[in-house]
Amino acid sequence: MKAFSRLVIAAIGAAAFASCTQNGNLIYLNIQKVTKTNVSTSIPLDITVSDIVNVGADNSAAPYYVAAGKIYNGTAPVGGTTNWNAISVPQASGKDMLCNTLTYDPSNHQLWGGFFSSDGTTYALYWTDPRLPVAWTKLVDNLNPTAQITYLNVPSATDRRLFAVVSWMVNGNPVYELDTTQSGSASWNNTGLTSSTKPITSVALNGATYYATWGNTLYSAPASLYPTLSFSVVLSPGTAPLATNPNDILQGIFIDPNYAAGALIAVVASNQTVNPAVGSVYFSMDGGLTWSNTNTTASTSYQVGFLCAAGPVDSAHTTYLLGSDSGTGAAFGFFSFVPSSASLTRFKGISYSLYASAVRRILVDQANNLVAMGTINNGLWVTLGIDATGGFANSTWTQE
Amino acid sequence: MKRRFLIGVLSAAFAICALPPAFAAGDNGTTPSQYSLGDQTLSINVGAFVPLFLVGGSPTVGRVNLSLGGVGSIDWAAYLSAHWRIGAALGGTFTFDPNYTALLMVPIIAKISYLIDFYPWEVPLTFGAGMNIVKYSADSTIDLLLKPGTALLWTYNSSWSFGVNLNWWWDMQFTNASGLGFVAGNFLEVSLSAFYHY
Repeated sequence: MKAFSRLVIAAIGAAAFASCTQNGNLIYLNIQKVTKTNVSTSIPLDITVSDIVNVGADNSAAPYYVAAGKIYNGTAPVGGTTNWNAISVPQASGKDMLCNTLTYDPSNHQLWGGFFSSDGTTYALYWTDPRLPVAWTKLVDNLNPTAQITYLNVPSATDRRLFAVVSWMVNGNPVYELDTTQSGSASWNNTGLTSSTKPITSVALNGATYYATWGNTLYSAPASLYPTLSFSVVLSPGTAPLATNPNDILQGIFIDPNYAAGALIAVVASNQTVNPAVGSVYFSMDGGLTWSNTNTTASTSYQVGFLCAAGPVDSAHTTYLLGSDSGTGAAFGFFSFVPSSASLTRFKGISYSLYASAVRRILVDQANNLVAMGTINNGLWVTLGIDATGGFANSTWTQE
Repeated sequence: MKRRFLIGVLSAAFAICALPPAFAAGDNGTTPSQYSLGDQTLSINVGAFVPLFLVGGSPTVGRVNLSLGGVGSIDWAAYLSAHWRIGAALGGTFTFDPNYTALLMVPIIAKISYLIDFYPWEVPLTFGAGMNIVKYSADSTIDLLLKPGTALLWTYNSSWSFGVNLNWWWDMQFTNASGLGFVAGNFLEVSLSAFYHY
């Protein structure tokens, strides 16, 4: 009888302390809110999305392009839905090539894609004009022909520089290099960011300054120099104005050019070397003069890194979205991020498996009131109706 | 035809179960329990797990929004006397939300039972309490589980009994939010049971 009563007492104690979820909600109340997810099978549900691009007015009927091996083209919302279809892609040795990165150059009306053959022997850059039927044109360039293009970006329609991160193997280890060219030009220049093992993950333009993320370090370079760029350190381990964690991998930099008090810069970081579940957000609200950081443990009881940032979701430019990493075994969907209070709040849509997905790319399209989330191994999710709070508690999501 | 066949099969099964076991041939049904202090049992239970409703939250009684699921457990118990036994149970359940995300439970409870005998039948009235490890999506909790129940067991021989369990699960999750105090999930377990006495 003693053992019985002790077990009951222990159970009551454990329940009192541990019966809330990590976000303070109760599981039963979360389940009560679950509604059946709309599922469209136009894109494989378990696919990993590596890029999302919006070409806007150049194809207003179907402005969205998703790179997920194949390239899927999504229509603007009509009747409360978007429709997605695979489009043709370049071929190598008679087989469709795979696409892992996309970017759009509005000044030249060029949708650029980084492609590779399924056997890993052919790598190439192609572009197509989204105003016309799909017709890929190969760029004959001076890039390393044995290097995979892991990232493409045209940060500015006016500066028109096309950036590419290329990666190749040396003695079994990856080497990354950031190259740039005038958009459409065959002649590429090395920016000086070349690294073994540490990935170069993104480039963005803030006014007249380019930023690039490489491993645990954020670099900047004046955009005035051409054709080369000269990068210097902004954030790095042990360096002012804000030291990054030595084990961080800065997964990307996001800039909101319309932020009222000077450009907002948010760098998302994931501490993947030591513990992928722990990550920080490094951000500046004054165009990069002063920097702050926060992490999920400061705002919630979660510990998770981040893969991307996007937004804002409100007209006042106060709330942004961050896609979470997969952490140690679990992923946490996305978070809303309010830089002014350095607060992070997890997505409230417990009923969707997006809630527990790693979100690699986020597209916020204010013009069509649409948010798209590209996940790792859980497909593409779309909601029509931007929630300015960032919580999306009452939003309906469709797994495309 | 199907209904008649089913009724026939069930009636036959019930009649067979109602027969006294071989070792009890000649008993007039008033034989005292053959078990006493020190005897123990192990049982395995498998069956259906029926989500019923929530108590607490808003509204005060609400739908639980889960599918019919499955339940299984292994129970151990020791006799204190011919009519009382105490024990422990380790179990597991699964149910699904509308998007087929599983709600998993692993209860570890202590149990006390009062046994009513009317040979060859036995009806234990059981109360269990303990912790319930609950997992749903990326969330997990440890809840307080109260589990009253009963069973109808047919004694096959001195070592084996078989029957049906009917247990009510009152699974409590506590919170300070919105003055709720707690929310309790109510479930019904209907399971088949095989008891081994030793």
